[in-house]
Amino acid sequence: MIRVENLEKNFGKRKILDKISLQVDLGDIYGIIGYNGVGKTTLLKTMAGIYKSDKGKVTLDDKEIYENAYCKSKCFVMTEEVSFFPQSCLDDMSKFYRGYYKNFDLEIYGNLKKAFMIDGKQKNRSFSKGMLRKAGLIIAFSVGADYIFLDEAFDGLDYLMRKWVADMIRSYVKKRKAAIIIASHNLNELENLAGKIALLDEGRFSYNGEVKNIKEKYGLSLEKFFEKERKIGEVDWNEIF
Amino acid sequence: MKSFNKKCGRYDFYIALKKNFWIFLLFLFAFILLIPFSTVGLKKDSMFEISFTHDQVKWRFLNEKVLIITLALFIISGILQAFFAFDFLLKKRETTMFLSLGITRKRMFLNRSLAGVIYLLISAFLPMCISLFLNKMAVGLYEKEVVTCLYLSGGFFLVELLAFFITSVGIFISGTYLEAFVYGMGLMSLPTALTFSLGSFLNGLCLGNAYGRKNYFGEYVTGKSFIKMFFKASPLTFFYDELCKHYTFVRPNKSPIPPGINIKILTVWIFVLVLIVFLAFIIFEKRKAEHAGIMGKTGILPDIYLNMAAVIIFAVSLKIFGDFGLVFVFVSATITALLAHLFLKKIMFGCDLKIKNTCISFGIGMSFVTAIFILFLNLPGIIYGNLSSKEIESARVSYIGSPDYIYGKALGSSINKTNYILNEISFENKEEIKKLLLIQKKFIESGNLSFKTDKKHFENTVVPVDLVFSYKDKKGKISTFYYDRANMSELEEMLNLDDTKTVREKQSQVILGDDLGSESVTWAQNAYQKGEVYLCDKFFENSYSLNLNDKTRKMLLKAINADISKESSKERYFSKADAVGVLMFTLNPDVDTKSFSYSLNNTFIYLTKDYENTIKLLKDNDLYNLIDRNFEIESITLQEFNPYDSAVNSLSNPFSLYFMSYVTDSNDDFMIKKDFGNENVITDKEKIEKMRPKLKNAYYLSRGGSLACVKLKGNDRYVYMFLPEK
Repeated sequence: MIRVENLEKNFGKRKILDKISLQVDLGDIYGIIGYNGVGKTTLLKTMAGIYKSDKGKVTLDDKEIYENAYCKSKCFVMTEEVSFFPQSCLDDMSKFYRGYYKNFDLEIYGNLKKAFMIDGKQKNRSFSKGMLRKAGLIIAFSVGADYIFLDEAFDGLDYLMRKWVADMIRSYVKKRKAAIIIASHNLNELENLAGKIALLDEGRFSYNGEVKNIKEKYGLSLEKFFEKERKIGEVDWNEIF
Repeated sequence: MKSFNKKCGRYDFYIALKKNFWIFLLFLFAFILLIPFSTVGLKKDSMFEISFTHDQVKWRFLNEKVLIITLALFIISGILQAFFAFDFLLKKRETTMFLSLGITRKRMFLNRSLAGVIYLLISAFLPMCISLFLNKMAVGLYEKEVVTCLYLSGGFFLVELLAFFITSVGIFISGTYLEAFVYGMGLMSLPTALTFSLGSFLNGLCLGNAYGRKNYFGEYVTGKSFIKMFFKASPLTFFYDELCKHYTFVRPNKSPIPPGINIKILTVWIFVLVLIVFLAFIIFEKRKAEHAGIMGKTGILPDIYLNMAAVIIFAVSLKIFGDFGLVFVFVSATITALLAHLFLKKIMFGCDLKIKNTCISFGIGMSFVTAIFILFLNLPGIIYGNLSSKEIESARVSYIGSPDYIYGKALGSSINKTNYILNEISFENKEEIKKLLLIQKKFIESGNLSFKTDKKHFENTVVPVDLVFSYKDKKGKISTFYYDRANMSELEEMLNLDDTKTVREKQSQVILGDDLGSESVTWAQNAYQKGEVYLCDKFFENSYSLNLNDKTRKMLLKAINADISKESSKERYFSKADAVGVLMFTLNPDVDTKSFSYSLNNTFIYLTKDYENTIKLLKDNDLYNLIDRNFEIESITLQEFNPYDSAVNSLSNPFSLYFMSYVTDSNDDFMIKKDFGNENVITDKEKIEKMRPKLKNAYYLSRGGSLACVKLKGNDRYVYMFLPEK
């Protein structure tokens, strides 16, 4: 279980996260949504122990995650900008991660490569945005992590692939009893995929709870709920053009 | 789980080793070329060549031509190893990747540092060990050779480690490569930059500063330059002197035993290294992951660097443009510093260029520099005030007068048609020391001068000199002041030292052959005592060798001594009396009877009618009539004396302003040759006759005048004299 308590994070004088609290249990698929630049990635990176919180704490199984090798080895972070060495290929990256993740499953890795039709010998720098995303997902779901943080997991993927990825996530969570935390702008996919959702707005959660509650309580789809909650005003485009 | 963490740590170490491997290999190859190859691989310059070693070179670990480049490459090797080890912190994606892994920062730091240390260790020791082995094969092992090899390897290793960890600190506090480079290099070169700046400010602003000043003969006046003085205090240079001392050993040398190694310097720097490693570790642990790839997140560091840059810009400007005057230096350096400030702030540190913030940060730097200027400009007065209030036991000063009575410590050289002698005389008489202090006060009052000719007021013309004033107080503390320029009136003031009792007594001793002390040169004394004596007319048309026995030589020298003893400095250097002839004492007559120019082997007595005793003696011995003749002058070529009038050979080094006549075969042998314009040749007999009595064989050039090339009728030789008027 990852528990975030009263988390605060500042970039210089700018407050990005303000007293954020959150709990992710194994088996959860947790969606983090919010406007551009609202701090979703910062929240993911702080939860994964990459960023240090300024106040509050993030614990994994009651142990502070920051600078805790054991806790961090249970997590995998796939950020928006997939972090691969550009001069290496996917097989090199799998080799790299095998050294750091004891549960890295070569069989799963092989199967995922086949499923996503990625050549493991192709250099990462020659990958398209979508291919790079697929490569990232292959590694993310091969390392055997209990907690996978996906930042813009569906970005750059075509419709069919997005469906596949959603199915893959569901299956992984069910079979491995893992938790997935997804930050995304793709609300349709998240609505069908995530059990819980947190809407980040001006450093705080304006909503944090079950996805189904949104429908039950407000009678709105996630997209409509997001529109309703947004703070920015309407723009008359006809006037602009 | 613990065992996996260990495995994970080991794997991370393997990743670190892998990352730095190629750069290690590249440098290892370079060091093998620079160390063992350079000492045995070059023909004619190989330890295997007897024509090179002559059985005297006992070892040479690397070629002397590559000492600096080798040391520089060891530093670069350390810098690059650090960049390869820790550059992931400067890239957003890689920072996320590495810091998300199940490994602590502590372990990450240790792994990358250890990988770097191993590679640096190998690249320092392996080439040196190969070189040792090759040296052994070539000439065998010599006493202390192995220890010296290990010492040098250890030194190289330490240089690399310092570069590695200082650069690492630079990386840890930076967001981008550019910042990391600037901060890393800045930290590493800080001691050198500071000592350079201090030296530059002292030399350029603090009038009379003797530290780091070299005289014309290349000797340091008091001690080495600040940079050299603090060579051992900079991570860039601390090992350079040791490398120069130990890279080779040649026997016979001063001693058959190789010089001992300096463990102290390594120990001190190892201690510094430990502190830097500790600092690096703390900064690495506290490093914010979110700073990766973003510049300008280093708080007040950019401002500190920018102000340091301003100080260095002023120091460099002072060094380069010092001769153009302080106003020029200040204005040009301010403009350069402002441009550098804006450029560095925006491009390198990514700071906002808001007018208010820029004014404040630049203003702080400028205030600091201005304070340095004010302090250093006022320092001479403060030091002088402190000095003159002390009780001084003895004083030494550079002597600028006639070399014909030279004594004391001296070095000499000839430049074109003049000469330069760095001569030192000392005083113990309190009144004379006071006189010397008053002369020095004039230098302080004149302030910083620029080299120039002042045609209107020639006494303000400034020329290069090598003047050292040195005072010893009762506690034995010596205060030394050095001036590399002086105006003519200051120099004229110094000629008054000839009127002091001390100088007069010493000059008499020179002529009469008394003991001058062990430190003193005996050039003039030897000429008087042992040299051949020639009597010439003032145009050197006729010269007569005088065969003197001991008795008659003594009589002559006694007469000369009597005359010069009553001669005031004014009469000596600015004589109004007519010249009547010349007495030359020479140890090298073959050469000197051709040119009659001053050298360290001769002395001249330029006789005027005031030399009553000498002239009487010459008359008594029927010699005076030999020189008392009137020659017809065919022409006089005049050239106004101006030390900077020529683009070809204008003076940039100190030279003697005491003009002493000479003879050559050319009418273009002026001590300063004009390279354009018509020569002012006078052939009008009436004009020549008017000029004739004013032509001087010897004169001090401080009041200006004309150099005169005199051609006598029926003779192809030219006599160079001085006409003390335009």
